[in-house]
Amino acid sequence: MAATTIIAAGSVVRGHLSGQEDLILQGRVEGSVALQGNLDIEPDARADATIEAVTVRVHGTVVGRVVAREGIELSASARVRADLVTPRLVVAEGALFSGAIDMTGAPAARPAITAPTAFAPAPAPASQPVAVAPTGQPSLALGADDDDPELPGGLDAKNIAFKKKK
Amino acid sequence: MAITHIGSTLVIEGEISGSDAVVVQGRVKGSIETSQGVVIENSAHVEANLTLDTLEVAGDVKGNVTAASRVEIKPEGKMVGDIKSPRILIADGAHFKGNIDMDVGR
Amino acid sequence: MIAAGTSVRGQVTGAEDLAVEGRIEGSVRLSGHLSIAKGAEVKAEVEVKALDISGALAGNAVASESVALSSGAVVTGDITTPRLVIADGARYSGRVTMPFDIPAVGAPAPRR
Repeated sequence: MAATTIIAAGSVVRGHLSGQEDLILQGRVEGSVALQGNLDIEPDARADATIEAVTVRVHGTVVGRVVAREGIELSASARVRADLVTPRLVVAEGALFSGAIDMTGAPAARPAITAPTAFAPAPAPASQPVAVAPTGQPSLALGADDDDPELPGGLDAKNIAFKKKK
Repeated sequence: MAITHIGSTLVIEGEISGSDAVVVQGRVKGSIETSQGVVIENSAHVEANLTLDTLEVAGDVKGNVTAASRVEIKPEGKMVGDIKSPRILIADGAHFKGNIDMDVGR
Repeated sequence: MIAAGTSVRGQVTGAEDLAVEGRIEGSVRLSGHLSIAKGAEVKAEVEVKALDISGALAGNAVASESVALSSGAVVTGDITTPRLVIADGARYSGRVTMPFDIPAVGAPAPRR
């Protein structure tokens, strides 16, 4: 696999970034990012940009537009003011988001969203945004995976952390 | 020390600036400015003005360089542009074309 | 509770929680919690304290406390809420508005 690009915390990149590899943003980007790879935006990072990538995991701040081929995940520390276009989306409790969401595209054949990394403060386990396992593999998923529509929806509702505080 | 690492398939059209060291394996067209060091690796193509503390060139650089401390062009390195730096090392085998000004604030 | 075989057309209001397993068409205004179960279909403007969706909602929703979309939820319409959770597998199209500020570039990043 090609080397991963890291934009470290003290760096700002202004302009257009493109490539066929993963990118970890710890600093700032202003402009546009087009990756045939995954983008991780770390908790103190900020992107003011139009972003296109395979999977986008946001733990920091994004202003602009995010188009993902496979999925977008906003973790508890995400602060996002952007339009999202994606076949799959996970928004963790604590994430702050404003923008349009367009999920009208079909989900990718191979699920791409994984459980949050250590960056996200862990909510109560039952409410943790979930890994969707490929068909046939054991799943940590709270919700049903695509092939099993029979999981009772009510079960999910009861497990959502904030509801327990009532 | 934090290092910004531009991978081999990455292309940046624009500017990189900040307080981290920068290692470039891909392509940068624009400018790089940092208070730390910059390493241009063998696979890299950089068309940019560079402002930095130290520079090591093992790839392809076209642009002017202002270094606070030193510039080294390695044997595999190729540079076209002017260098302003108190210390310069151009290795045997390196390609260089440009002006050199070592009289920086001494 | 609106059972699975039941269809309601009109305005639903109340101070209680409501679990919908059937259908509602019109509007729902509750000072409590609305839950739209898997298989349920709500085509309505919704204004509630908390909203949990495992079924289908077509309509704009305003929640004073929270909105959660479970896997299997299919939602179209705008959502306004201070807290939002979307599980993997939920499908949503619309505009989300949550109250928060992102400072202009150059200011420190907002921290939790």
